[in-house]
Amino acid sequence: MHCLLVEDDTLILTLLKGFLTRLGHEVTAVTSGEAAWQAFSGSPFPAVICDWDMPAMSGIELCKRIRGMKGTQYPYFILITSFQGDGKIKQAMEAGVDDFISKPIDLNLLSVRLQVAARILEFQSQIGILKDLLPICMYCKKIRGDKQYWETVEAYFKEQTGADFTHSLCPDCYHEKVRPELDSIRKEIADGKSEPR
Amino acid sequence: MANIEIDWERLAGLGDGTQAGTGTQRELVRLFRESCEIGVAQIREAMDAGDRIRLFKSLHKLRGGCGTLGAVSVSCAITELERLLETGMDVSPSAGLARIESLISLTSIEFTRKYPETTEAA
Repeated sequence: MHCLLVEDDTLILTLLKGFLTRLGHEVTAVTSGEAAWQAFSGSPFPAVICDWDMPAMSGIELCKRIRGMKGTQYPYFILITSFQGDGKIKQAMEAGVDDFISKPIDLNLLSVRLQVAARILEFQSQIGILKDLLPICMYCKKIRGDKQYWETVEAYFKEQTGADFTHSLCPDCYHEKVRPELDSIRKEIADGKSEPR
Repeated sequence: MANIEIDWERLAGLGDGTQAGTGTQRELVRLFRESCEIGVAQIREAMDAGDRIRLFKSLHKLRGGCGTLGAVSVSCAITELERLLETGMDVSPSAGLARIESLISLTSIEFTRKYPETTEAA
């Protein structure tokens, strides 16, 4: 996941950058809210990990600006804080923060939080696809999914939602397809062209 | 010498267990010193200006960095000063800061002992 890391304390910044890189994330690290806003405006990031308390533009202010951007994919916003208390948390949640990590930073906890972030962003991406128009073959009814290959409706929805299909018959298809087929088999048996099974 | 508490396990856990990981810790220890210098300067500036909000923010910041690296004694001293200031007790912030600075120096010596190359890097 490409993370935008924002922290004015170079100690924490270096520590987190190294850790996130070791976890396999791509990291763009900046030391101020303004630099983060510039970077995000240029090309949005799926995840933002940002310190709360920074001079000029705080983490909350950055989050508000990002949430105010229209037409971009929803980024997961984690706020680093050494503040405690419900009032501060409420303020952050109202600004659009998704999660918190407190100082002293527990790196294992951050790793778990990022796994949750990845899962939520994946769900969001799936919802986005389902909301969009799906290309479907007008003959065989296969669907072209986000991986750009054609797959059956069953396979597509199983992949997107985890739903399993149980095959059944609708009344229309029974009358239009199955019944004529059964009648044809019965006729063949009656005519002696086929043996009953 | 004062008894300095350091969470060595925390500091060790910040690397990846390889030689490069040890290098990471050396780099972090070097940054600890730089970061503390900046942090203490910011606290002193806020105290001189009588800016209580900036003072608390600077203390918060320094505590976060120190705690993350396992500098327990420094972190506790900062927490203590924050609490005293919060309760509005008649305390001298500069005496508290002097104690914090002293603990930073002692912690830095212990860090350097554990990761000796930091002396050259500094």
